[in-house]
Amino acid sequence: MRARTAQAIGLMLSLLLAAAACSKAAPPQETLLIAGNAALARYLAPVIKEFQARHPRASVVCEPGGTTAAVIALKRGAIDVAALSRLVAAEEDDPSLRDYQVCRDGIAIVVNPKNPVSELSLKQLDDIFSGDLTSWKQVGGADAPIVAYSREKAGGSSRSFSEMVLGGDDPFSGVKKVASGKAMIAAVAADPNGIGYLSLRRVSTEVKVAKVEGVEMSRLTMLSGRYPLSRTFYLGLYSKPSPLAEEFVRFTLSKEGQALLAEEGLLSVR
Amino acid sequence: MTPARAVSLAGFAVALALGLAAMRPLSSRADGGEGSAWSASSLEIRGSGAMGQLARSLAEQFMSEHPGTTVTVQTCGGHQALKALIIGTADLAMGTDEIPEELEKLSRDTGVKLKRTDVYRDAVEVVVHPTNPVRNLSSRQIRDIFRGAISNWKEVGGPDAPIEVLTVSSTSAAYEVFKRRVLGSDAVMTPRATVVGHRQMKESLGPFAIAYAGMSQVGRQQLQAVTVDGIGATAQTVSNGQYPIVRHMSVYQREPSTALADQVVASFLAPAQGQKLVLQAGNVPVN
Repeated sequence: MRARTAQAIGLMLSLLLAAAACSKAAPPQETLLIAGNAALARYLAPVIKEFQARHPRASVVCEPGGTTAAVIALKRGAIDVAALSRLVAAEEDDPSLRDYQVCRDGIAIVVNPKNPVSELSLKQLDDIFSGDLTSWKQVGGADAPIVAYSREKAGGSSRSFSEMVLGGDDPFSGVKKVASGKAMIAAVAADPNGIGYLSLRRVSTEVKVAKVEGVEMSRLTMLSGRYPLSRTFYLGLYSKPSPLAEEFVRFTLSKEGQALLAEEGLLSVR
Repeated sequence: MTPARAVSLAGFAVALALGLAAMRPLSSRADGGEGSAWSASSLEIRGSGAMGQLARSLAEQFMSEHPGTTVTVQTCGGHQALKALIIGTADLAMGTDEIPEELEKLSRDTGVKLKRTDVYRDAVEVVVHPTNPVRNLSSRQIRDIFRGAISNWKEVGGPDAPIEVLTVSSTSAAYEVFKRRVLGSDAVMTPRATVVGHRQMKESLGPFAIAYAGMSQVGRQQLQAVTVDGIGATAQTVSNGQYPIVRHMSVYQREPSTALADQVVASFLAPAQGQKLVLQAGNVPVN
């Protein structure tokens, strides 16, 4: 072999190696921005974690900010995926907007197992937690004062409860505050006059779950939408989303994504 | 070309090739691109609130009879539901039996074929206060009252009093049926009409008011209906076409359909399932 040919081959080989090394050392970063409903943003955490692991070159950012703002931001192209706690409204809708149902959650109304009252209307619940209904006798129960329990932190089930039952208001000042779902169960189980609420995943047999508007809480009544304190979450895409955004929605709807959501106590929809 | 230059060009080509190979292949749409149902065991129904109760009960019945299936229901306007069906975010849409022009165009543009199955007949009745002596109106009189051309009850054989026109939300099925069958394309609802909610109909009907409501609402709230051209709305007159203010409520699916979609649609039509629920709700079944 001629010296110059050997040199040329040597140079080409090192260039090949350099090129290979370069494509591994400086990967292109793609950002995926998800924003919207705070509860859904929290629920998506394990889904995002697994998605990141499968897409190491992607950078996923997920922020709260509210459903309504997210729809606007999505249509402006400011975010890639909108996290929605409701279907888009007719006036927000657009043929380029796709809203995919991803999961459902619900709030259980719980009373002491010895309480003869086993169903309440939405109005009665609103009145109880607003301090306007104070005796169990007013709702067909014993002549005893109603002791309402509510979650301390302004997040999680307390926010859902406030939105679904109190029209966004806080419970009245006379409610007793508990720090966690477990504490809620303990309090209501120990108090014959107690009433409280739990997110679906925290429900245990130590408390009695009341029917709401005559409908019992079950997987079926939440999927059909007949149980009134259930919520449906969606992921929104707009116009021509990036392949990464499409892939994220696809993953959330896949068997694996749905299993991750179910593990958190949500209802999968696929 | 010098060997050195040839080598650097080759190197560049190789780097480019490696770079391209390392890129993610373009994924198709989140839902598979054709809006096909993702899962063989799950189905999402969206549609008109008028059919909400029926769909919810049907979904629960279906899921109990077919363990392992997931059938979800979400109510929204019929228009929005059809759009979701066309673009692939819903699997079944419920609504009235006519597809709006712009959605016909959307389905043509996206190459999506739709199949409609009628589920029940939705009759709309004209209602008045129980003390109103007027018991019958012609279609023409009804049209003229609601478009504001007749404004006093004495013009239609009633007392000398101005007619208070009530209407419901323009997104509701009752409004759509009323608009198409009574107002037609050449009349519009009088701007003096007051919008009331379906459920507040009874309390909103003052002594000189006139409104319209779906047949099941009339039954449920025990409203006083007038006959139209001498015909009252009964299961028979609604089924045989004698009663004029009628429309079908339907379920739409994409074609080619999935086995699950066909099963759920069949359930809507089954006399022991969907049609029984239709009857219980006070509507007129197709079967």
